[in-house]
Amino acid sequence: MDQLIQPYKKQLDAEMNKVIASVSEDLVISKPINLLGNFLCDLSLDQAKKNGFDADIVLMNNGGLRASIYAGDITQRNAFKLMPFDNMLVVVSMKGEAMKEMFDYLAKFEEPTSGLTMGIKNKKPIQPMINGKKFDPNKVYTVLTSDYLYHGGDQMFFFQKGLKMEKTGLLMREAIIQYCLDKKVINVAHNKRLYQTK
Amino acid sequence: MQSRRQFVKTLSKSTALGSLGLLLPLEVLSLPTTPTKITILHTNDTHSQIDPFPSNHKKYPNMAGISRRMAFVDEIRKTEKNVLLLDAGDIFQGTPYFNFFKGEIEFKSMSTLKYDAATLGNHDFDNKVDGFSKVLPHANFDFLITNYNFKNTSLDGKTKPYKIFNKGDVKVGVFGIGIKLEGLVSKSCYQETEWVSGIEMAQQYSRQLKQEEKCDLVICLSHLGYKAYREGDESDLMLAEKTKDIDVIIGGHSHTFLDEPKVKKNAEGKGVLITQVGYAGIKVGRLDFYFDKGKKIAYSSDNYDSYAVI
Repeated sequence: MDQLIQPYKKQLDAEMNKVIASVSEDLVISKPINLLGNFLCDLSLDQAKKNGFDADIVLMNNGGLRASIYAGDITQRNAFKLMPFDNMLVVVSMKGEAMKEMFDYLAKFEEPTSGLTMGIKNKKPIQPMINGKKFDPNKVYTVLTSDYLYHGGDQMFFFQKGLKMEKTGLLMREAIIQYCLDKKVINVAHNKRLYQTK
Repeated sequence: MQSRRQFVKTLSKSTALGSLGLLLPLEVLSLPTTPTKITILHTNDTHSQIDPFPSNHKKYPNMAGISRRMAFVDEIRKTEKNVLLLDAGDIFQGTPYFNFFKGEIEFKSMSTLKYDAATLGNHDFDNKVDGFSKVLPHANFDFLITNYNFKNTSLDGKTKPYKIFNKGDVKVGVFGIGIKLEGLVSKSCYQETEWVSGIEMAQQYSRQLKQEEKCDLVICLSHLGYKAYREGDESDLMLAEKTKDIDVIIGGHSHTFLDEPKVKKNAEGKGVLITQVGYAGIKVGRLDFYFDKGKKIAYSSDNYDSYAVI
C-alpha cells in the first residue's frame, strides 16, 4: 500500500510547494486594519468579477481564515491552509432590515469586509458607507460571501432574509490561487474598513 | 473459519450475541455442526483520508490512514475465511489528495484493500458524475445503487443495483441506496442523475434478494444518514422501520459513531441491525454472523467497538 501511495504523496507535496505569488508583508488577522481579511475580501470580489459576477459589499469571517500568510513566497499549501474548506462564493441581494442586522452584527464582531466602511461605538454601527455613499435602507445591495455564511454559519442569520442568492460556482480556495497566479506580486489595501470611533 | 473451541470461547464471553432469525444464542451453542461464520467489515465517509491524521490533530491525532486499514483488514483475513469488505459512500472529498488526483488514489487503494462493493454518497458527485466516471476504471469493485438513475449520464450501465456473494454455503445479497441529491448537491454536479425514493427501492430489492434470490443475509449499503437532517429526507431509522427483508443496514452520511449496532424493529417486527462507523476511516466496523444448516442467523457484535485504526 505504501508503494502505491508514495508517488501520489510526492507529487502532492510538489504541487503544494508550488509558488503562486509573493508578498512583502505579513498577512494576519488584526485590528483596525485587517490585512488578511482585506486580502481575502478584495481578491474574492476581483475573482467574482472576472467570472461575470458583481457585488457592492464583501463579507467574510475571521473564523474561516485558518492560517496567516507571511512575507515571502506564497505557495499552494498556503492557500489550502488559509482555506481548507470547499466554501463557494455566493452573491446575496439584500435591503433594509437585513442590511441593518448585518451592520449590527459587524459592530459586535468586526469581521472582514470590502466595499463597506463603518464606525463602531459601544458595539453599535455608526454611519455605514457603501462604496463612499451613505447607506440607503430602500436600496437593494448585493453582498458577496461564502455559502457557509449564507447558510447561517457564525450565526449570520441576516443572509436568510436576503431577497435572492446566486451561486458563483467559484470555490474560495480556487479564487485565492487564481488571484495569486494573476497578480504574481500581492499588494494588499491598507485602508480601515470597520473602526472604533468616539 | 474459527475452530469450534474458539467459537465457544467467543460465545462464552459474549453478551452481545443476538438473533435476527429464529436462532437463539443458546441454540448456537448446542448445534451439532460448526455453523458458517460470515465476517462483515465496513467503512463509510472515508473522505479521501489517505494519510493518518496529523499528530497535532485535536480529536484524532495519528489515527486512520489507508495503510493501517490495510494492515488491520489483512490481519482479519488471515483468520477469517468468509470476509466481505464494504463501504457506504462519500469516498471522495476532504483532503488535497482529492483536489489534485480526483479520486484516483482513493479507488486504487480501495482496490488494493480488496473492497467487495461500495455505494455512492453525495460527495462522490463533487467532481460531477463525469469526474466519477473518469476515475471509475481504477476501482476493481462494484458500485451498488438502486435509486439513482444514471441513464442520461456518463455513468450509465457502470453501476449495479445489487450483487450476490456466495460465502461458504451462505448467500449474501448486498444492495445500495443514496440520499436525495436536490438541494444537497449542485445540479451541475449530479447532472442528469435522477433520484427516486431509496426506501421504496429498498422495499423492492430487499424482497427480491430475500424472497426470490433466497439470500441468507441481506445487507443494505445506505448513504441516507442515521437520522434525517433535512425535512423530507429519508434516514436509516425510517428505512429499518419501513422494510421487511433487510438484515443489516450499513450506514453513512451522518458521520455517526455508534458504540454498538442498533437493533430496530422492521415492518414485521423482526430485528434489523443498523451500523455506522463515523468518518475518515478512524474506525472499521466488524460484525460476525453465524448460520446453521437451516440458515437461521445469529450475530455477534463483540468485536464491534474495538477497531479504532491507530
